[in-house]
Amino acid sequence: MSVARRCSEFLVSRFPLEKLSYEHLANKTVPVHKASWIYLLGGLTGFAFLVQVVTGILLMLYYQPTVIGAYDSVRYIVQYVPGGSLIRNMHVWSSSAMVVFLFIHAITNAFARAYRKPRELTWVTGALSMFVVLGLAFSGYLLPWNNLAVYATKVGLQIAEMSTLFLPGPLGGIGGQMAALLTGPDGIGQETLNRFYTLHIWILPALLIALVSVHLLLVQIHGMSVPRFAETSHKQEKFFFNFALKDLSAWMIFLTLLVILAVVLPYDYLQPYTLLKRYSPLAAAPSGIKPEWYFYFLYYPLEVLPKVVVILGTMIFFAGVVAAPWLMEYVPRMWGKRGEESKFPIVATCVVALVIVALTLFGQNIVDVMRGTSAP
Amino acid sequence: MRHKSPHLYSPNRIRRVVGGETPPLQFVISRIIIMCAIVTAVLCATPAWCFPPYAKWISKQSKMQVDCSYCHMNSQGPTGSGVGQLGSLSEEQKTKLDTADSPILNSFGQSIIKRLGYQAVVDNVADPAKLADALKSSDLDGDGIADGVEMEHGTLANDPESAPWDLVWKVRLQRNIGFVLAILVSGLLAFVGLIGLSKKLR
Repeated sequence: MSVARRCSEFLVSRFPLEKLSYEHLANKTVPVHKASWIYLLGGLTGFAFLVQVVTGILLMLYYQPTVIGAYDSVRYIVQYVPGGSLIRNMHVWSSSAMVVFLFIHAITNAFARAYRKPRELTWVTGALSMFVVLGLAFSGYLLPWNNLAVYATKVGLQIAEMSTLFLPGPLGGIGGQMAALLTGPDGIGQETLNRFYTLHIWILPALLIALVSVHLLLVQIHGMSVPRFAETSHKQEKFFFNFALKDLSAWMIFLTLLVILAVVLPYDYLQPYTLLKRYSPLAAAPSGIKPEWYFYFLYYPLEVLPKVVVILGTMIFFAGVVAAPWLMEYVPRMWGKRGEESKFPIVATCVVALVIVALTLFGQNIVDVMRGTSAP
Repeated sequence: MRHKSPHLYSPNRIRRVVGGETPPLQFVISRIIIMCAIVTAVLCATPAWCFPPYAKWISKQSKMQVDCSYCHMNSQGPTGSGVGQLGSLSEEQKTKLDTADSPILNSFGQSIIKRLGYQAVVDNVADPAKLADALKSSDLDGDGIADGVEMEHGTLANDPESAPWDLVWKVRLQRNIGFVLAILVSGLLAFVGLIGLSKKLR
């Protein structure tokens, strides 16, 4: 069978015409079992993104994407604009919440084996969305133009530059060219801010909306995956409007907690003031520069292991996450088992989850040591 | 008889060093500049308006990174010719150095002089905790955390956006309790309403 034919058959089976009808989508059901709460996580991730979009648009009314005005405009928003502090802190806290929900959503779906046929593309679009979310977080970090923002971005760009150095020939320079494309010709400055701002408010959100749209369509077509322990239960409930109302209830709880958190604990209180001062290219870099907490799983290994090992390992890991539907099927065959029978998918998911959580916690310890708040 | 060493810049010595008949003007000027730089560096190394023990004490207490901008205009301290540094001051500004309007101090540094006097800063260098204690009755930025407490926690006493998070959340909760309660009640009502509707539709 030709490759083109196999591809077309693959796509037809993943986007079956009969399931694209209004009747099918409107009559979608959701499995009911002990772990049904995992189905709320995708909606919560989407809602956190919606909060980001709304608060982001409000912040755009005052934010000035210039190296002269960015820092002052953020201060102005927080100190003088009515509700500005609330909006900005909702934006910042919801970005962290989105990453938390996305991580738990990915891990629980891996346990529920939601990558299996015919949901491969659902998994792949979700995994790609995760990288776009991390890109959104990285590009947004620069916008306040304080010490933390600029120096953390410099570190990120250096990592991007090194990311392809081990590749042969001209491929080795791709990382450097990518970093140069993001930075602009004159080093970190106005052009860098322009490019990061454009990425943050246009390119990456558009990409995320496109990916999430396909992801949601596939979820509506193929329904939710059921964990192994709940396969015997055949209880279902209608998506419209029983489950949709549960989704809305969860969103209400999240929104309530988010607003209270944004009012009571502004995010900047968690950082030393030296890191939050206006960036000056002439001043010395303050100590304690670090990426946002959701990059600690990369940051900690970079501190202790050779950079090439970490970068190569990270690229293999990311590729593995995207290719999980096929890896989980074909790797067990190496020791003569079918994907269904093997414990490899569960073990691999546990290891990945534990490693990421452990690295995130160790990364925090490194930061504490740099600040001198705990013994090394 | 003790041999008298020639003067550092005696014409004979300079001739010997440069190996010429007459010392070049550039040589003399460069030596004068070096001498001036050494004298300036010695004078400015420990100016009377610089008290590093305070920054060290705040860093030690709070385990947070603290620089001179905690009290000074410039994060590098008063030494130098940058903004808020001694080298950039006019004669008129120099007369205000010991006062509450000192041009090298930020609003927190100025408030310390205003409240406690310059002498208190000098006297407490050996025991900065006393200065912090003396500032526990004032709250310059109005964030609800006393200036002395902010010193102990390494957060800025003149910036309401900087405060110890483990203390400030209680203050902010108290200040916004009406708003927080309204949000809680409305969130709860929405939740109950949606769950009720979901049950009815079932």
